[in-house]
Amino acid sequence: MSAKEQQFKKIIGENNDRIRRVCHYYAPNDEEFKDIYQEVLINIWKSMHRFRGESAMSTWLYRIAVNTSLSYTGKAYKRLKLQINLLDPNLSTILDDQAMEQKLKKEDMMELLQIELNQLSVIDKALMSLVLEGLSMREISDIIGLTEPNVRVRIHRIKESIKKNLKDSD
Amino acid sequence: METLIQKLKTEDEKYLRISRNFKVLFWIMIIFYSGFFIFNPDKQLSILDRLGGACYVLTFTVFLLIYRSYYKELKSVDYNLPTTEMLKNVIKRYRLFQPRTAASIIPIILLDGGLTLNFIDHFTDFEMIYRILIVQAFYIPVMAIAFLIGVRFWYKKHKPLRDKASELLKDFEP
Repeated sequence: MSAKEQQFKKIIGENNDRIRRVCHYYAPNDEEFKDIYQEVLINIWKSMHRFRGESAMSTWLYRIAVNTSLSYTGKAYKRLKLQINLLDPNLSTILDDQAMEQKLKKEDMMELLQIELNQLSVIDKALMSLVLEGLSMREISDIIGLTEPNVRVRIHRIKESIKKNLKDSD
Repeated sequence: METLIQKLKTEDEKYLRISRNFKVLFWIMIIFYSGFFIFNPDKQLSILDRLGGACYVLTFTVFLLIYRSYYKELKSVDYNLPTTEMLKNVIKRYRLFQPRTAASIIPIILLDGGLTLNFIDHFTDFEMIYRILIVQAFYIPVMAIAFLIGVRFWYKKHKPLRDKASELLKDFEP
């Protein structure tokens, strides 16, 4: 096995859950999950020589996953959905509201949240997927390339809008 | 499902190969034309032929430099930069008028000079000014047609990629 193959296996071994999670956010079904996951792995393999350690490995991997997912074109791009589930450890960070979080545990509320998230623009979905990963504003700005205050304001607006809509429909 | 990145990679790799081949081609042309027009001891070659040959050699040298910089640019393309940065680079890389488009004017003028110097001997029945005009009457339309083909090609192949990147980038704007 070549050194490159060994390094690739090591990177995937250490970050497989992270990569799979991000791909799951964007894949509406198993078939598309496989497509995105495979494409991300190909991009990692092809770009390994470019990773110079200027950013954390995780940041670099998130960039690959986000750039790959966002670059889906045509109908696939418009259909891009943010899939969440109750087991997401950072689900509560979307709402920042304890009472709401309790309600979230009810399945119908979860469905509403899922609908709200899927009404966001593709870019906002990408931002929320990174929030769900528990990344800091700085890390998100490093992945997306927007300034930190810009990311902060944008995420705040998205959260406020989701909370308002959830309260209205309550 | 084909992604924008896949399309960009295919296109960038194609132009990487083309620019590498052109580099080789221009090296061959420089050597051939230098040998034939500049270093050739044949006494039948007029000074105009030699000057024309020098213009060709300069044309190929400038094209070689242009393709070398294009090759370097394509070789350093990174699709895993922060998303907005990556998209801005795509928009820059696939715009219609590049700095190298402006730089291409130099070899185009040099080539015109070379052709004019080489061909004015062939139209001995005319005055010098008419000889020059005859060459221009062929050269300028050929270049104009080549330019229009290039624009049409850009419109069909590169503009959609640029538009898609612009559309994505626009979504990022607050």
